[in-house]
Amino acid sequence: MGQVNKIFSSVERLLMIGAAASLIAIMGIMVSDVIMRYLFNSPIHWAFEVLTRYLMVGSFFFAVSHTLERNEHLYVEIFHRMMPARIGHLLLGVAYAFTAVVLAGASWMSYLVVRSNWVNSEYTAGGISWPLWTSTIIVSIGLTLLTARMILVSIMRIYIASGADKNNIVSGEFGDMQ
Amino acid sequence: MTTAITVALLVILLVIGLPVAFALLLSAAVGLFLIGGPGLVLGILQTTPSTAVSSYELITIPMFILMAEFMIVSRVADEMFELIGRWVRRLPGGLAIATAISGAAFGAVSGSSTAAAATLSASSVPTMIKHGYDPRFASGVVAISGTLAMLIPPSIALILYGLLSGESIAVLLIAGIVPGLMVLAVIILTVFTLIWIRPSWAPRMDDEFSKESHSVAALLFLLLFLIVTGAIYLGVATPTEASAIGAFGALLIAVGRGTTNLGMLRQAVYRALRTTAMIGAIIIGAQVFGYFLTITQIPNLIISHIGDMDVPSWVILIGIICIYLVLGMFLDQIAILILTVPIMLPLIVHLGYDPVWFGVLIVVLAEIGLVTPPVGINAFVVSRYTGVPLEDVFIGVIPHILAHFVVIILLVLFPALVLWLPNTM
Repeated sequence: MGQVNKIFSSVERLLMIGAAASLIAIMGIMVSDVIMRYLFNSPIHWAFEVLTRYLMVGSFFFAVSHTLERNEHLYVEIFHRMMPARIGHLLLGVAYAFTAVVLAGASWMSYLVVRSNWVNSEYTAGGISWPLWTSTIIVSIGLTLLTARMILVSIMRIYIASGADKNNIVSGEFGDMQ
Repeated sequence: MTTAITVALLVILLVIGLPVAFALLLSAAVGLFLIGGPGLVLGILQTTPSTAVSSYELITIPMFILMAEFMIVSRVADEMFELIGRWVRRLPGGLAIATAISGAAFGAVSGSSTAAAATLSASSVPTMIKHGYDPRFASGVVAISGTLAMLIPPSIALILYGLLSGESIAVLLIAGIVPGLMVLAVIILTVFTLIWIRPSWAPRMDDEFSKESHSVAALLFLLLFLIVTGAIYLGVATPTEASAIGAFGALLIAVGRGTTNLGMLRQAVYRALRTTAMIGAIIIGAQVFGYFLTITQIPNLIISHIGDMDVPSWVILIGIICIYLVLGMFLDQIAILILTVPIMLPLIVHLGYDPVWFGVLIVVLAEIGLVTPPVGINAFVVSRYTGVPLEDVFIGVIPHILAHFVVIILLVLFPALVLWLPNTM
């Protein structure tokens, strides 16, 4: 389980670089667009498309799995803390497993969208005309990795709940010592 | 029946500690499945994740978060506290007042209450305690001052409300200014009152602040605030463009002052990304849940049910305020907004109240939630950063909570306090 977690973490770290690049690019393009519009009366015509279809999507979907790994998604802590630790892990493990099923459905649908964009040679409309799958594949990658991470977190929680994690190795892996 | 099952499931998932985003997603998926089978669920899941995140207005959130992170690493906020402290040191409780004004100033460049509370805790509480201030009094002022970031633009909470309600984000941000200044005035008056009752809580200072000049930091800080807020108010730039300019300005300040390195900047970007992912995931979950609400027509049913009740609208408003105060004790402010706005907003509009005014009102109510037990996240942050016991922080903040009710009453009685400034745009 530790090895799988390490592989996942490596992929997530790689995607975080892409997410960081997207976020910085959003800032750079928007500032450039404002400058070009006011000083040269020549706004960047492709800015809106690139910002919404690629960069915003990239900065979110490339970071969402890493955020789950770091347990930084917002949750209500108070009641969870009141529960016995193992019961808490078991309930969460089961809840994550069901959520993973929903996310798997979303991932599958996103894959179908990418395939449809590819097969039908669809292009973006607006300021630029790029193949649509280059945008929708970002969503698909992000959702697929999030689904896989969620399955792993679910297994780890249930493993901890079973009492097998005697040395807190697994619970320490995802940085959640609740 | 389907509605009851879905809502009960949502509550259970939140209670067991499943992240809010996934609790919304899972419960909505179950509800939609019960209504329309797998086809309906998959149809909604096909489009919602990408359309929710590819919103142009949503860019405002990561940009303002990035701006806050860059400002934190630039340490300008710490220097602002030093500078304001020097200005007001002769006043009774001068350091506490400096903390409140710093909270407002930091809010003006961050929009995150938790970040403001953490920064203020690190910079002001040790100084206050060193000068003989009562730890409860000192930590209470810091905890409540941090909440100002929720109102003073750029407020992430108001931006989120704008995204949920469809109201203009620019109008909402400007609408937060007067109530923000009112809350600041109330905090300062509460400090004066407390010191008048117990002078020993804040002894007058004998020694001086460091002679080091912080005027450059103050100038940069003021300049950034004026550019960002001024651009939104004057309509020179959209809130989204202003947020990117703010982030870029904060980056220039952080790099230009030489207080940071590449590693710190990278961590700032990563923290901003994780917060963005957290908020983005909640928005996706909320949109899927929104489909469930639309199909089941829950808001319409609630409106028609309440409309049939023979009670004046102000009674219903008081009920709504009480609901928000209770929710604030248990839930995070973002979660409260996401869970309640789709239901409450149609009701509020139906009752004849202004949606912009309501947005500001619930953010002021959320401020109280940030410092009330048992969840009060700002109190936790202050306790963790300062070492002051949590119960002492909660005790220290009680007078400020009571004072906040005065602001709420004023805002309810005089909606023009909120709506006047945006009406001049």
